[in-house]
Amino acid sequence: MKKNLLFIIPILIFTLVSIFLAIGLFLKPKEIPSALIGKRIPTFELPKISKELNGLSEKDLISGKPVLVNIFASWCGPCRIEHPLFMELAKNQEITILAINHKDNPNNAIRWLNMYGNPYKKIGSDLNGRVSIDFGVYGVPETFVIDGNGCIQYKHISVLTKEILNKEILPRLNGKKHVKCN
Amino acid sequence: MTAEIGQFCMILALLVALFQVIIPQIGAFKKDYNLILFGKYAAIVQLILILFAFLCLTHLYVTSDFSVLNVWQNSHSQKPLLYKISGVWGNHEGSLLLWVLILAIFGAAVAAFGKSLPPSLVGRVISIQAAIGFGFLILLIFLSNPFARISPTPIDGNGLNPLLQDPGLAFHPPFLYLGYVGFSIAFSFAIAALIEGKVDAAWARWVRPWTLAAWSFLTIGISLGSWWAYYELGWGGWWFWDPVENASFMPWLIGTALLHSAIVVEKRDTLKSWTILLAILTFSFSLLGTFIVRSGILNSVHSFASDPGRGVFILGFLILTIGGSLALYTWRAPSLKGGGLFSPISREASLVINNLLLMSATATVLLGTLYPLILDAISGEKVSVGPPYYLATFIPIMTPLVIVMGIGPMLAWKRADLSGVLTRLWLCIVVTVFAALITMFFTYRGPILAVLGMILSVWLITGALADFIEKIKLFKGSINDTYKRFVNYPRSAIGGTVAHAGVGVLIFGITLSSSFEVEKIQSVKTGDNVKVGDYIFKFKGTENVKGPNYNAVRGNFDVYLGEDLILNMQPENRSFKNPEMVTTEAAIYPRKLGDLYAVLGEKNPDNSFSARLYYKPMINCLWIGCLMMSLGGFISLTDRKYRIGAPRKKIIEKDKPQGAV
Amino acid sequence: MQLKIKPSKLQSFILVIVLIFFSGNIINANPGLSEEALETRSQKIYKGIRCLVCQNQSIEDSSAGLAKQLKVIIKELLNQGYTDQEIRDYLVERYGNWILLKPPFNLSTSALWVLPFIILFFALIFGTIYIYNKSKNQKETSNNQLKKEEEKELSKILGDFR
Repeated sequence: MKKNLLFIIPILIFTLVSIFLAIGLFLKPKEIPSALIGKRIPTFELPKISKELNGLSEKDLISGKPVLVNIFASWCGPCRIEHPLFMELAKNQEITILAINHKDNPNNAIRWLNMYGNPYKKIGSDLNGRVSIDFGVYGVPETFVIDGNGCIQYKHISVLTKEILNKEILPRLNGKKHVKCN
Repeated sequence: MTAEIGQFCMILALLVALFQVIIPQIGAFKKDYNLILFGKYAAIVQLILILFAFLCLTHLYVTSDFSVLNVWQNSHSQKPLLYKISGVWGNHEGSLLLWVLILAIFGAAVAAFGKSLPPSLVGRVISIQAAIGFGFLILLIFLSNPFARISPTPIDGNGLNPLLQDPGLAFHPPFLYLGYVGFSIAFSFAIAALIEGKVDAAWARWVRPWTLAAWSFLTIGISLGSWWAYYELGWGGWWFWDPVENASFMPWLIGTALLHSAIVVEKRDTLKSWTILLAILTFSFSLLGTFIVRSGILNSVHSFASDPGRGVFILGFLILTIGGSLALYTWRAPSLKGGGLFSPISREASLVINNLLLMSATATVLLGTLYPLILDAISGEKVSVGPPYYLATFIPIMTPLVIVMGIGPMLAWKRADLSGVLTRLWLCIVVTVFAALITMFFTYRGPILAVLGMILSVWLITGALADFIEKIKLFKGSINDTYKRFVNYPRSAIGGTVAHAGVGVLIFGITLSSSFEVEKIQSVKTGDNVKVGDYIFKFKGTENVKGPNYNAVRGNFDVYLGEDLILNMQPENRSFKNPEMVTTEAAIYPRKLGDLYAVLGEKNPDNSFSARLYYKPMINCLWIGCLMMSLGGFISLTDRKYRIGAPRKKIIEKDKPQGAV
Repeated sequence: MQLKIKPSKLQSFILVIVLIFFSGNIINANPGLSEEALETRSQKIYKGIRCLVCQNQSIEDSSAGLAKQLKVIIKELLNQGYTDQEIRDYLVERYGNWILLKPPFNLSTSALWVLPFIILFFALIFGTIYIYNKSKNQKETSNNQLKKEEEKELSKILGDFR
């Protein structure tokens, strides 16, 4: 009997493996969650992209109430897809949308914003992409939610959708699902 | 019309498969040989139908019929003919059809050549082969139809990924599948044996050649893939421990274990239930590999476009076949009793150690491959398991294996004399230690891995040589006697020796090419000199070239050794239009002691080019080692006792009384 | 006699090997910051950092924009006197453990690092017991002799090579 027990081991291991494989089918291996959730934002100071628009520094993100920070570039196709969503969001005066213009020629960025509209209160030009790296950005677009104290709450990778906006971002802008920074 | 005929053939094949599953199985139970004969014919009809469907798809590709979705997605009218044909299996649907075709070939081969096998065993094996084929045909017809039409017909196709337009890769999948699918025979034989409740030496003798053939093909397939990565991807590497590579490596490791344990069953009538388990596992890992590649469940540099529906289907099929066979194993295997006894120092014992180490190595690769997924499923945390992990875990497991490999073939069955063997190996030990000291001298303060690798490779190569010399009594007997011994030396033993030496050569190549590699990555301007080891690369600028379906920037390097100009190297940076993609075509110049390897990157803003220049010593030993391994497999296959059609009735009769359980 | 001398020779060989190895390590403890050394150090780090955009490649192997930029940053930090570990920490802080091709040893990766050796350990235990049983039975079983005879005859017929 004891020996027969050994023969069960293969099927037990296989069962375990197939459970994980089944779960794995519904996971997204390509999306890496931010390591910075619950961490303070990095210190930075980014220049403006034109005379009329403000630059961006970490102080702008610590304004007492939650803000959205969108990483975008004029050369980024998917950014255009999510842009109307930000335009609509910007109509709400309560919501502050800030942006980091990622590795982009400022002139192109201005032309792009003139064409599709500017939902951003302030835009920092991150020419060499260094600040983006401090934010753990690995592709554009990405969108951050930062609470009033400069603590990173949430990051969405790639194109923002209405569904994500309603389910994940708006509640956090209203102070729900809050993560404390240490 | 061609597409519709192909589709029709697949549906007919599905119907035939259904009958092929049921009827020979009933025949085997009832001992009704007519029903089994029906199964044999079904297997051959099955092959004809699938071959015809495959030829239809090939025809569609060659004639560039873009009204077929699959052709439109993966081909282009401007593509060279070779890549139009290889494009057939360069995508999920077509490669699946190839998979099923090879499965049918193996099934028909058992039906056609299995005359000396007991009819009931043949019936069961054919039936199980058909069951596997049935599942894949459903996937093919309903979820991945290669013959689907699109309307309206596009003017031209999307083209094949240019990285795949390469002779090395054109033949990589067929060999890989010959290996993967070839293991299905061992699987079917194992299931049939479990149903019959009988495993004996004769069984092992039938399974071994199939396994050997599959293993040799898989070895070629993996090496071709690796070779392709080496010269086409332009990263200078040849193995990346990528999930998809691991997916082919795991069946290879377990298949190697199966190959060796089957010898024990054949010669000593023991280790039976273990061998059955290995036969099931080897094919299970092949199926798992298919799942990993086609479901997109893991991050990988090379895999097919993923589709969740297919993933769910293949997983379901996996659970049904592997789960079912392992359940059958749990139920039936305990009744398989092994006979032969042996002492702790014997060939059997060394093969048991071999098997356990190979099993542990496979488990490690499996763990590393699936761990990111497991952790993600449990805690949502993401980690990467890359080459450093495998180096740290795989090498400690493989080291004792290689040491045992050197001694094992010299040990006698049942009871061996270890000190005697070690005495006979004294010269090997001395040479190995000497090689280790030399390596240590040259890599002073360098990595220990270089020394370890050197020890292992020299040990294996000299061990294999010593074994061979001793068995044919070279230098000891008269020349005549030696010659006689050489002629009568069984091919299977020669094959084993060649394959073992091949592993040694492979390790030698790996060790030297990674420990003494010189790598220079820098941007170069016209006239720049770059020193790579003893060589100096002089960059002479670039020119634009036009290929059949691409434009290229061709770099020009003069390579000097000392003062002498020895050659000119022209790496290319190719821009393909269909689909739009840039690839690097490395210039590789093999010299006797190593490869010179140059890659031209893209143009920098300051008009310089980023270049990667390497000197890779002894890298050709890698390919030679792999070649020797598969060659060893094929030499074994020609052994008198395995040769198909050879008279062996007598042997089988003699086997029976001993093997009956 | 001869056999007895060999191990002692071997032992002295091993001693020499060990000594060479350790002396090498001690000398290795003072790194220089020459161009060459910087290059080797940075390339060693590159090989352990996963390219974020291209999946399953190290940044060393990748020509993606982000990979290139990370390489520049790593060189910069090296010049500022960061240690290799500090550089890895710098990247992990921003991108998480995912960026390391060699997963660190911590609670969630303990299974990954420990299991292979546990498996190996149990495999060897299992093998030892199995082999021991096989050899023990050999002494006890009495009808074994007959089987041996059979096998001898069989192996003759099969052309077994011994």
